Order: sequence, then C-alpha cells, then structure tokens
Amino acid sequence: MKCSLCGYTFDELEASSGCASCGFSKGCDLVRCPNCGYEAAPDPKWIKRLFKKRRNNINPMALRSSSGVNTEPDAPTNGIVPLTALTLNSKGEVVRILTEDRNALRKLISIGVLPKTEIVLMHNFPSYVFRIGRSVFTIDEYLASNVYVRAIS
Amino acid sequence: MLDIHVNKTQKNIQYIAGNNTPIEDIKKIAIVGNPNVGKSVLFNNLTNVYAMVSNYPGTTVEVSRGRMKIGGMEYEVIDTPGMYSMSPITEEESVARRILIYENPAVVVHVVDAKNLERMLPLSLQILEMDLPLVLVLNMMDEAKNEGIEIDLTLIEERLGIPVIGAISTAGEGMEILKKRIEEVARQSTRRNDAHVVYKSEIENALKDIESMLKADYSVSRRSLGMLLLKEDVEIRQLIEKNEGGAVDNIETIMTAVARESRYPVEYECAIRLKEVADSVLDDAIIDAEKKPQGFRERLSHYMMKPLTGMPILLIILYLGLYKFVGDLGAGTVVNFIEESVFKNTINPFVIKAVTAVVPWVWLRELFAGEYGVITLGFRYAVALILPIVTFFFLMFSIIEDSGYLPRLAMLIDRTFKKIGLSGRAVIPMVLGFGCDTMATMVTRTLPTARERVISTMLLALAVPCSAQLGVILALLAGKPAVMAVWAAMISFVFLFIGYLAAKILPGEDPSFYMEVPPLRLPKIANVLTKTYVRVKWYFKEVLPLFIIASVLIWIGRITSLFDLLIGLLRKPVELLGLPPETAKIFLFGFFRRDYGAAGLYDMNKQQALSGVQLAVVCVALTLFLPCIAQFIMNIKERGWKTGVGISVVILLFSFGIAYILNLILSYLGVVL
Repeated sequence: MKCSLCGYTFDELEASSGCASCGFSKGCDLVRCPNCGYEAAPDPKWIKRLFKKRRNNINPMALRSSSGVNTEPDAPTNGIVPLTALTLNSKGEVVRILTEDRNALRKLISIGVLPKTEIVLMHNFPSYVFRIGRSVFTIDEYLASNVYVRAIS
Repeated sequence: MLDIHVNKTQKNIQYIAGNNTPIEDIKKIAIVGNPNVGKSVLFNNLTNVYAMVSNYPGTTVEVSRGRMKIGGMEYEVIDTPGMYSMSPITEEESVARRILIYENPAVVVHVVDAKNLERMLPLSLQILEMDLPLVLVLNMMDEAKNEGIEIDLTLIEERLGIPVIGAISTAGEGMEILKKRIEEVARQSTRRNDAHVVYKSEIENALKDIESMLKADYSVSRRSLGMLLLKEDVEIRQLIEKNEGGAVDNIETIMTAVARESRYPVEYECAIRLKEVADSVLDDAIIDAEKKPQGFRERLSHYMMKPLTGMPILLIILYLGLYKFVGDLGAGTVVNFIEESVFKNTINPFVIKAVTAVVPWVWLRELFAGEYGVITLGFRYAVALILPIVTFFFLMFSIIEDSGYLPRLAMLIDRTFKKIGLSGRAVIPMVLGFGCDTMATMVTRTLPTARERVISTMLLALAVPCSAQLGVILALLAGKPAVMAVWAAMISFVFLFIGYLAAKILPGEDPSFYMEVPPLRLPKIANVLTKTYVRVKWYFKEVLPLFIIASVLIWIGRITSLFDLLIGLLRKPVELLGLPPETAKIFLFGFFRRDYGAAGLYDMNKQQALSGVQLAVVCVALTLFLPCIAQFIMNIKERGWKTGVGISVVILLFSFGIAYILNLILSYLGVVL
C-alpha cells in the first residue's frame, strides 16, 4: 500500500516490523508506514481486489527480494504469501523472513531459508516439509508462518 | 543422530574421559561441516587406528581426535560435531565453533554434500572470513553424478582461491589428493583469499571500527569476531569482555548504532549477502539437472509423513518392531530359553550345590545362592531377563535410526508434542526411553532449551517404561487384554496430562521445531551391529554392578532386619492401594531397578497371588514409580541436584496417588478384570 502521508509504497507485511515496541500492536488493524511512522488503516479487501489487475502489471523485477545497500521502496505484496499458505507440491521463492523472534530467524537461516531460495512444499500437515535443492527439511507452523514466499508456477 | 555413544568409527576406540590436553607443537586439522555429510567417514579414512573420544571441556559434547601422517609429518585430526552456521543454536554447534576459534587449526577441512553445495557454501565463506586456512571437500560426488549434477571444481577453486576436492569418502576416493592438499596448505605461510565477502557500507564501517578496538591476540580474524559481535553473539561477547576490558562500551555503542540503522537484524542481512556471494561463486560452475521423478524411496517417505498413511505405518512398525520382535521374540522366546534351560536347570542347581558344599554358614550361603542371592537372583535377572530384552530393543532401534525414519516420526508427532511443551525433536529420547530411560535421559542433551530438557527428563522418569520393564509387564499381562488396556490407557493419560501440566507450569517459551529429513536408506548391517553392541555393552556395564549391589543390599537389609523396617513402612501405602502386603517388597526392589521390581512381580503372579484389578494397579504404580537408581543418579547428573531430586519426589507422590485413584475407581465401579 501507499502511505497517505509521505507517499512511500510498502507492503503491509513489512509494516508490522515497526509495531513491535507498541503495546497495542496485538489485534490492532492499523498499519504503520515504515518510512515516516504514520499510522493508517489498510486498504479494504474489495479495493485490493479492484486494483489487483493493475498491480499485476508492475514489473516483477521491482520486487525487492534481497536486502542490501539499496533502500528503494518495496513492491506490492501480490502473490506473496506465508509459507503456510503456499499450495501443496508447488514451488515458491522465498521473499523474506519476517519475524521479531531472533531465535526463529537464526534457525531458519541455519537451514538455508533465505530470500531468493527456491523451495518446494511437500507436506503442510501435521508439520511443514519442504525441499531446498536436494535436502528436505521439516519445520513447525510457527516457523513456517514467518517465511514469506512468492509462488512460482 | 545419536552419535553420543556410538562413534561411527569401527576401529578401536580409546576412551579418555575429560582428557583434552593439547599435544604441543603438533599441527591440528579440523574437519567441519553440516550433519550427515560424511565427516566421520572422512575422519576414519584420514586417521590411524587409535582415535580418542572425549568430552569437550565444560560440555557434554563428545569430540573424536586421531593422528594422521603425511610426508613424515604427524597431524592431529579433529572430527567436530555437525554445524550449520557460525551462529550456533545447539551446544554441538557451539563446540564445533569453539574448536575453530580457540584451537588454532593449521588446516580446516570443510566437508560438504556435493548435491547441496549451494546451501552449504556460505559456511565456507564464513570460515574464510575468519582467515582460517581452508580446504573444501565436495563429498558424495557419486550421488551428485547420479542425480545429474555436474560441478566444475577448477572454476570454484579459482574463484575461492582455496583447494577444492571432489571425494567419495565411503569408497575412499579422493583421499590421496586431499592429504596432498592438506599438506600443502599446512606448509603455506601466506594465503590468498579471493572470496572475501563485502557487506553493505553500514556493516563494513562498523566492522572497521570494531577491528581497530580489538587489541588482544586472537587466532581468528578480528573482522570475523566483529561480525559475530554485530550478530549479538553472547559467547563471543563474553570472550571480548574478558580480553578487552574497557573497549567493550565503545563496541556496544557501535552495535546499537548498526542495529538502529538496519531494517533487518544483522545476521539476516549478512546471511542474504553470503548467499549472494555463494551463488555468484557457483554461477556457471554447477549444471544441475531437474530433480528426477519420485522413486520408491521418496514415495515411501511421502507416505510416512502423511498422517493418514503415516499413522498406520507407525503402528505397523510398533507392532512388528516392538511387540513382535522385542516383546514376543526377545522377552518371550529367548528369555524363556535362557531362564528355564540355562539358569533354572543348569546354573542355579549347580551354584546352590557348590555353595552348600563350600560355605558352611547359612547366612553367607544366602548371599550367593539364596532367594535373593547375587548369582541366583542378581546375575540371573541381569543375564536371563534384561540382557536379551535390551539387546533386541537396541537392535531394533539401531535399524530404525539408520533407516532415517525418526525425523519423519518427529515431523508427524511435533504438533502433539507441542501440547506437552516438547517439540518433535524430543521423539528421539522418548523412543529411546522405551529401551533404557537412563540412556535416554542422557540424550535429552540434544534438545535445544532447558525447559524441554526438564519436561522430557520428567516424562521419561515417570511415564516411559524401559524395555526391561515393558518386557516383563507385557509378559505379565499377556493373557489379560483388559488389564493391559487399563494399564496402557492410564500410562498414556499420565504422560499427556503431566506433560500438559509441566508445559503450563514451567516458565519459558514454547519450543520451535526444525529438523533435516535425510533420505531413507537401507541400514548397513555392520553399522547396526556395531551400534547395538556399543549400546548393550554400555548398558550392561551400568546395570550389572547395580544388580549385584542390589542383591547385596537386599541381603544386608534382610540379615539386619533394616529391610523389614522399610517394608513395614511401605506396607501401609501398599494396603491403601488394595494390594497384598507382599507387594511392598516389590516397590522397594523397584527402586534399585524398576525392572527388578517388575520381575519380582512376575514371580508373584506365577503363584496366582494377584487379582486382575490388583495387577492393573500394581503395574501402573510400578511403571510410574521412581526410576531405577541409575536413572536417579543420571537425573541429578544431567539436571542438577534441585531439579533431579524434585522430579523424584513428585514422581514418588504421583505414582502412589494415581494408583490409589485407579484402585478407588475400579473398586467403586466393581470392575473385575
């Protein structure tokens, strides 16, 4: 979404990183702009649906999947879902790990779940099982919910 | 998975506990890498016959060290525990890193699985960052080739500026070249390092600042230490605090500044950058065919992890492996044979006759050949009853373990285990507990958090019957399916209920679960036999003395009438449970070893002294009852005095409490089993 105060374009997933220190963050519907900190209500779902088509036209290269020196704004979230929502037996590319939990982050990094990594989801119940390259890993729902992927057909 | 007791080397192993004095002037070679990449096989190939296995100082992690000779020079080779990255999560990983940081290896051999080079190369880059002399070994080249992966070793070697060697360690291929390269690197004084990773400017600047503040001597680069400081690594921070004193505050300022400037945690940013660099190193150097369609193994693996088919598969494994193989064959046929033909008809009569002839005093005769004699009871229980059951169990466990089934079971059961405060990882000690709870308590070390370790220790001590006990109880209840059902339901209920309570009461975060799922493979017979042998030997060495001591203690207790006093004390609670007073004896013996008590029960039941309800109550009480002395000691050793004793007291009260309630309910309902 686009911040109505400063015009910065960001995705709602990323916005939650600014909420960690806020005592009201649980169950709060507001979205905080990561650029200026302005709080706004997210676009209602029907508006999203309305604009979906338009957003599909955005150059996929603009989707910043690795962090680095660049600070260019993030592209919209279309097609990006948590690993928990990826279709079974389909391929996804990790876009980011989004969590405040340092330990969870370290665990995911240690098994090689990093942006630009391709993973194939093999099972989603009772735990998540996926393949990276030729290795298979299993993680629980909590860890899986921190991994955001873009489905690849 | 369970390398704690079983070093994969099949050569002679010398155990030198706690002896870790560095051998002066001998150059060290550290073998590092992910778990399951064949480090130990490589270690065996490189070293001579005698390897030393010892605990790394201050930890419970075992490290093997051996000697190797190349060109007249002798080296010490260290087989480090598996590590995924330089930021350790488990104690094993932390030990592996300590070896790199403190032991100043002349050469680091990083072993990777050639099939998964992309995922494992970032660790190489991190080792290079430490300015450690590195040799990269791409192992399992045969498997990679079979999968249609082609790797250009020369190109990677050129780009990294370090020796890169293809190897098939199981066939010994590539070892000669590896030795040559190790020697070359060990002799080199200067190193060329082309693959130094450059991070984004904020991090680079911070690294430069920290580097200039570190004044003490370190055997790895200051840059790498700075990197770990930025990643907020507790252990490295302590090291720096110890060595640098005053500078720590300034470093702290830099760290907070970097953390404030970065949108993501430093380790995340760096991991992404490392991956980018690794990908560019491998660009055009790897030709990877599309993954082949599923074979039988993958289909089987798939069905094992799908609940709908996985649960039946688990039940089949339990039925065939545990019930049929361990229960029927081990605890039934084999035990009967040894008990009846070997002991009852041959050894016991002979011993009784011999002792009667040699020893004139009745009280001394009792010690060796009496009802609870050292030979007639202690030795007989250990050899005739416990040994076969445990051997059969460990045989089965080693087969299951080597087949790669356990991680799949962990995946299936994780969701349920979360309810009792454990993660799927705990399935390994829990299953092992059905073999020997004492050994399983030791294995709880592999669990990542203290909370999980306490909960699993508690559950092992309380509600997981060991194979010896299970064997005897199953034999006891064989003809009484109703009693067995009550017993099984009660134990499962207690397991879940206490786990649930413990998870609610104990402070700390819920565990999270992550695990590698290795491919299914056919277990190698030699490996299975070695593992079984080592485990049974360990078990027997622990258990036999305890049986003998128990016999002696019982003997002393009986002649001094101290025993009668204790039995008298236990009589009241036993009567409360609606049991005949003789069972008091069983509980007392049960403390020495739970199976010892259970075996006593077996004898009593043969005389038809117990009703169905009484049998159910006593079996439940005895299963839940205090662990054997060995496990009691292990609990204290692993969890400390307070927790260890605390767990035992809770269990003592609880086992009687549950048995009391069960008796009340069954008698109130007038159930006849």
